[in-house]
Amino acid sequence: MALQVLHLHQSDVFKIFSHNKYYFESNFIKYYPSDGYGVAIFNNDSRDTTFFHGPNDNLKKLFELEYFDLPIFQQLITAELQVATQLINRLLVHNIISKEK
Amino acid sequence: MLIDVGEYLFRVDSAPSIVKNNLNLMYGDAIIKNSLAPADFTISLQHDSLLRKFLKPQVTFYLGSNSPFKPLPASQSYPVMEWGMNWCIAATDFNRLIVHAAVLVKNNKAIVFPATPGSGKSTLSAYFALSGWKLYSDEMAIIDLETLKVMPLFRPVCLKNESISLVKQWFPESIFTGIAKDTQKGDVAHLKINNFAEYKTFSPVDVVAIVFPKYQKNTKTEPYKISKIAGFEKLAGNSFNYNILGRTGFETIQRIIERTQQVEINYNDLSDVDDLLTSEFTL
Repeated sequence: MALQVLHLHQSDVFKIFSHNKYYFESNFIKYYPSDGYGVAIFNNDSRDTTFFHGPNDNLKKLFELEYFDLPIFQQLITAELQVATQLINRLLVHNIISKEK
Repeated sequence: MLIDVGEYLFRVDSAPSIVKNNLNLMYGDAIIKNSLAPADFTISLQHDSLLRKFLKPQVTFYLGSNSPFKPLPASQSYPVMEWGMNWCIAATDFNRLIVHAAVLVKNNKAIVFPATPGSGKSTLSAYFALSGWKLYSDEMAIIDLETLKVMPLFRPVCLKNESISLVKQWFPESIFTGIAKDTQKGDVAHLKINNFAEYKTFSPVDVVAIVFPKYQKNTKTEPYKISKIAGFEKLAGNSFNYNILGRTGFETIQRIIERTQQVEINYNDLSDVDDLLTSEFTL
C-alpha cells in the first residue's frame, strides 16, 4: 500500500514537472573546472554560489540550451526523478532558472 | 605599544600586564614602543567595571570603542587578545582573499591547509614550522587578488588541549605562553615560531596545493586527489570574505583552483605527511 502511494505521488510529481519549461536567467557566471567534473555557478544579484557535481560535458550541454523540461534534464543530468526534481528546485531557488510564465 | 605583524599594524592601547608580558614574549622585536605611526587597528583589553576587575574578573576586547565579543574570564586574557586580532583582520580586510587556513612554505612554494574539522591544523603548523618549513600563518591565508601569492603573517601558533603537551614533548626548547584553561576551545597556549628578523626574510609566494589533512588513528598516510569542484567548494566555505568579495572572490578561487592541486590526506604521523608533501610537490 505504501509503495502504491509513493508510486502515485512520484507520477504526480512527474506530471507537474514534465509540463514545465525552465528558462535560464542571465544573471550568473559559470566555472567549469578543467578536470571535467562539476560546475560552480555564481549569481551576480544574490552573490551566492551553487555547486553541481557530475561530468561537466552534460552540464555544459544543459546550460547551452535556451530552455529545458524535466525529460531533457533527466536525459542529461540524472534519470532519477527525485534527484532531478531536487536539482531543478535548487536552480529555481538560486534564481538560475525560472519557470515559463 | 605598536605590533607589526607584517601586513597589519596593531596599536595596543591598554591591556592587563599579563597580556603585555605575553605580547612581548610572542612578538618581541616586532613591537615598536613609543611610536606615533598610524595603526590599522587600535585595540585594547579592558575590565568593564571596577567590580569585574576583582570579583570573578572579566575582560572585554575592543577595536576602537566597539566590542565584537562578550566579556570573558580574565584568566583567558591572552587568547582573547589573539582571537580579537584574528577577528580584526578577518572582519575588515576586503582587499585580499582571506581563508581560515594554515600556510606553510618550503622552497618558496606554499601549501594551504584549510581549517576543516579534525584536520589538526595547528599541531601540523607547529610541527612543520619547527621542522624546517616556514610558517606563513597558523590561522589565515592572506591571498593577493591579482598575483594570487600568499602573504606571510608574523603571529604565534594557537595550540589546544593535548597538542600543547605533544609539541612540548617534540620540541622541548619551544617558547610557549602559559596555558589558559577552560576556554571555549578547551585549554589553550600560544607558541612562538620565528623571531621578527627571520620573518622579515619571508616574501609573498605562489600556492602550489590546497591540502585537506585529516588525522585518523591507526591509518596509513595516504593522499587522495579530490575534484576541483570539491576543492572550490571547500576553499570558498573556509574563506572569511568570499561572499563579501562577490564576483572577485568567485574568480579568484577559480584561478587558485586551476593553478593548484587539491588533495586530501589521511594521516597519523606528521613526519610521513612532511615526506609525502615534499615528494608529491617536489619541495
